[in-house]
Amino acid sequence: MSNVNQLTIYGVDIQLIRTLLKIIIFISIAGAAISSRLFSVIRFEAIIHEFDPWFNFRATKYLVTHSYYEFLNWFDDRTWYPLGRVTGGTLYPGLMVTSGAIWHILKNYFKLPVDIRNICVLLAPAFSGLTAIFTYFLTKEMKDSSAGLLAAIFMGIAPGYISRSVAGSYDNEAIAITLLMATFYFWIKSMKIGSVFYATITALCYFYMVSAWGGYVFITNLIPLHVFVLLLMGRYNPKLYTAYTTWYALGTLASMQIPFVGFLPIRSNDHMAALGVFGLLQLVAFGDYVKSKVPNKQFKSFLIVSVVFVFGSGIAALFGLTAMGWIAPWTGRFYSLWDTNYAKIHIPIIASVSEHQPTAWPAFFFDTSMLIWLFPAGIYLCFQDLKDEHVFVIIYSVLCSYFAGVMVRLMLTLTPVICVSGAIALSKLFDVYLNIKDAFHGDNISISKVISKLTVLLSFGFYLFYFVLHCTWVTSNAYSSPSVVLASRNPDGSQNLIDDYREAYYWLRMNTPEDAKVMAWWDYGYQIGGMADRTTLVDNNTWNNTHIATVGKAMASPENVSYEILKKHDVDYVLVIFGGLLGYSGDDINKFLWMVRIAEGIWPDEIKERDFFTDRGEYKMDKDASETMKNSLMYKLCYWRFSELFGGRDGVDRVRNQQIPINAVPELNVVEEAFTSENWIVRIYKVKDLDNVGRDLYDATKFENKKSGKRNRIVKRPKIDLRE
Amino acid sequence: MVKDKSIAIKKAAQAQSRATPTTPATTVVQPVSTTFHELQSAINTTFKDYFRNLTPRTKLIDLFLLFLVLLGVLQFIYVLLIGNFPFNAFLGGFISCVGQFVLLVSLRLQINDETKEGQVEGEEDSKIFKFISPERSFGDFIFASLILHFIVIHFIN
Amino acid sequence: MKILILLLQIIGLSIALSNNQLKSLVQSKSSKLISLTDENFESILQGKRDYHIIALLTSSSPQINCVLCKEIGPELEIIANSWFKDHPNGIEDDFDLYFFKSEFLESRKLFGLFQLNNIPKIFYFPPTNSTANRNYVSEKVEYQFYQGDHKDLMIRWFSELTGYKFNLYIPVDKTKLAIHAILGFTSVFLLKRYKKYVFNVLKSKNTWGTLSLILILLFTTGYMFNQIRGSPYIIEHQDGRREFFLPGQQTQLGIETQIISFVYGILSILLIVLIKRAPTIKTDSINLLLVSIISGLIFVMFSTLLALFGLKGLGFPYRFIRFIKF
Repeated sequence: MSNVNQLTIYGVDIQLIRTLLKIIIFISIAGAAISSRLFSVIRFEAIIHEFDPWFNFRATKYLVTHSYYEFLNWFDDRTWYPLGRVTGGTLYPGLMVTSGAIWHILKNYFKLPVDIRNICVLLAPAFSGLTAIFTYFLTKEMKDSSAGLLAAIFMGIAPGYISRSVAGSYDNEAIAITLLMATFYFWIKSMKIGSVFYATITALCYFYMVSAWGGYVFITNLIPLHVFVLLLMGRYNPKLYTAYTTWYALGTLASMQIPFVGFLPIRSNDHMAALGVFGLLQLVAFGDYVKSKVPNKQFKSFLIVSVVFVFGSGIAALFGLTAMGWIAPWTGRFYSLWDTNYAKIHIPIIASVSEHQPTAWPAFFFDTSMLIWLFPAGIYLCFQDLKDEHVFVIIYSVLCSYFAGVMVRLMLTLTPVICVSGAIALSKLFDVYLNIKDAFHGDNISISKVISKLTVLLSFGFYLFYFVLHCTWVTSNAYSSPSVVLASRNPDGSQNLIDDYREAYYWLRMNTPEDAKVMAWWDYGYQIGGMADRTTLVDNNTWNNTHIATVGKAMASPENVSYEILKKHDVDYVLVIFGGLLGYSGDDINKFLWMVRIAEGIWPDEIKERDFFTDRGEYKMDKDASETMKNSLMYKLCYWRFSELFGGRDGVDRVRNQQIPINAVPELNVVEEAFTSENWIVRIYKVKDLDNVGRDLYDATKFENKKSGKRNRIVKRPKIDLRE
Repeated sequence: MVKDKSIAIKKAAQAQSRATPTTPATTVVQPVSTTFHELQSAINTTFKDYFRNLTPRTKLIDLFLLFLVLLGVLQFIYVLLIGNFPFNAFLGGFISCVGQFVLLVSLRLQINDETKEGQVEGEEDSKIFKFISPERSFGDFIFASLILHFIVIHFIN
Repeated sequence: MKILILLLQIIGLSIALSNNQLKSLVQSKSSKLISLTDENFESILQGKRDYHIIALLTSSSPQINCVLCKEIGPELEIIANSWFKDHPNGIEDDFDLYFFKSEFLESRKLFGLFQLNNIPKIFYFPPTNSTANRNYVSEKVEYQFYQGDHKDLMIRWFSELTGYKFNLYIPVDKTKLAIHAILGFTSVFLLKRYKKYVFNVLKSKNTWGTLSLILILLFTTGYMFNQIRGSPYIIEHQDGRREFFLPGQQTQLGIETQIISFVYGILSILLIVLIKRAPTIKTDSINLLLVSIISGLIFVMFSTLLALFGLKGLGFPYRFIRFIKF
């Protein structure tokens, strides 16, 4: 805050100092962004988190060990048994290619043979640093560089973005948000100066984005909407034409290079808005040209005629093509954003995913803290000087607030705009109150002015400090557990790691034949594929509803029905997740209703959701549990020998707080227990083969039991206590 | 696609003859006489003005534009008549036409902007593309076209 | 009619209303979904019946807040009305069919008899010759609710049970149509009349600004959550206690959206005043006063927000002011 007139400090040019400072700030922002995402690595270890990342990781390993073309043509026979999956053509390759490229560069040019796993784990934090920088540039276009710096630091540590980019969450979103910001930045830039060059860069970023994440549709619709609103506001100029048409022509063509996207950009209605605006812009450009040549009145009639003609033919064409089946109607997932009941009725699979649930208000505050109330103020300030780029921010924020309200997952796309507009508001405030020059105007120092400025500055400095605390707290508490490894606290406060998943997957890997087929609910498909390297029936790529419903049916049916399904699909092992002993609530019994619902969607005659409730309509596992429930394979697999743990008393299911009666032990005839992990979270059962002497499996089991009496396996009770 | 084409046709008409734009006039029924009349004169004015401002450079660009439009229409007719078997080839060809077309129009807008300012008013601030010199716009144009055609070639295989 | 029923009750419980009595009762009503209450259910259900009965046990009271009940009620009414449109005088040589609807608050006895714990329920009572006491309790057949078009599913179930064919006549809501027509007409008229004014409003920055800000405030405070989940506005306990906030991050009440959006809105407005208005005041002392008041207000509001967020559980550790001792 030195005097403005002075251009050098100690003989150094002030511009140079400014640049230097900026670079230092950038480095520290990137450092903060990266290090706040490393909680999980420090607490646990560098492993891949959750479910989807395991698939990405597996695909990346495949890419690194095979060539790029093999990767694109990869037919994966280890998932969706017996169907298999054309993996190369049904994934967004951007993420894998990125980390593969980094791996190659490190290996070949820097001679640093880094494990591909470490690259995958650390990719998301690294890209978050880049995101912060692009956010800076974007906000700089909106206001100035001080707002940009604020936005960058907000973006760096806002939990809403951290939630999807901690170390180890190797998911498409990890790089997609970076690309989103980059695309938007270049779009604003090209729109502002009308440069073909920047528009081309926008198209390239867009292409990268398309290759990385299905959420690219958001850009495909947001940019045309921006242009459209600008046209409505009567703000057409040739710069807009240049930027948009270049972006659209190049971007569309480029996006069709991704095998998974294919011809969608000209076929599906999701992309039609962009095409429509493209056409409209041609007309407006032509109209603009004519307008500059002819008198106003003549132009008016010209306008009316052409508008009527074009709208008529355009709408007719759209309807005609949709009716003829040339253009696909809106895709289900997209549609479910508008009609919020659509998914519930038509696609239970989508509705069953917890991140597709609507967002309650605490989630917003949790993820953005005080930015959430700076956000409307920032939007208001954007309305104050409504330039073209501000229109963009406004549209973005209104649309995204809606989307984030409908789906928790889309919090991720809302966070950047919250950061940007929060930064605009805050930097405006600082512009006003950091300017202490007028307090020292003349000779007498105005005490009250100084005090009033200090009040504001100190209080907001305090809020910012709190913001950092909040973000750290949220990140370390909520977003840093790998969910593959769980943590609990012992009574004395020390940490206890629960590693049942990996224990079980490792067991599978070591003790089962290489070609064994494992049936589990689809949530665990990627993990089994990635960690145990065994063939699965269904996985998190939910492309085939019927197949998932088959698994649901097998789990929900009585043993004899299930056995037929198991045999038909060559299943060797069945894996269930059971949290009743430990109090781990994300287990299969809690997901069971979705299995039932999805199965009911295909076989409404055989599976009925109502049968799984007690007469009073409760979802119970204890002695009141309905017969259908007690007979279902899932129930049996979960509670098999459960009450033996409790030494003659009723077993207690800690998730549901229900007593499992000791005298109603489920009997298992068609499968036998193969493995149960330390804390009983994972239980694996081997499917029995058909009996040697051709007996029914029920008789065989009875006979066996009689022969050996009651088998006395000592059931080991886990040492640790309830997880908090 | 259809919309695109109608625009393309219009553009073509603008570039060369003045016959086609009368087609929209037939869609309006009632206030035909006045509207039609005004339309006629509007077209005439534009037409004259267009030729007055034509420089060798813009002439070249417009000829190229016309060529692209014709090429696009030709491809479209081919698809309508014979079928779109190598669909990606058709798309590649067609989109390369459209893409090149819009790039050219952008170039023309940028260059034209410059000359107009030089001739008529000479105010620096009122220029629309004030950050872009004609040399730069040409460089941008080359760059974008290169990328466009690279993708097209990749698309066609 | 009431006297008649009373009389019947006195005479003997084992006699149900005759078919003709019911028919005249139905014909006299405009809605063919007759209400079944504690007063009349014995006379209709008890004993020998020479007609089919379909009864919906439901409640539309806001206390119970049953979403499915509200969906099912009108749909069954449509079916009932369509049935009587086809058969205004009943069926010649077969059993007639009657539709009933029982509201929980008016027929607690009946609900108690069936030992119901959740609603809605649809029961079917076939014609019977039994005269045993409360024979209907054992004779009922329960309908299972599935996802899908309820009308369709119900009709399928009914025709399975009764063997009759059902046609659907979905009534055109005339009042709604009229309202829409009038609204459309007046709006067009107003648009024509005050064209300039309307366009000014549409063009005005302020309109769009207010609109977007309201939308943003609503959306970021879980408005869509309320819409999708149909969460209750407020929870009132029996003893008059009211609950404004539900603990837990994944739940909320309707009123929470209002409270929180209000808090956000106030905070934003205060901030804007601080940015835009305060610097324009030239008198130093007034400026200081304003700034300190606003800063204090922001502090209080922000503390409130944190306290409210703390109410939602999660072990959130940060508070500026402890309003309530935990």
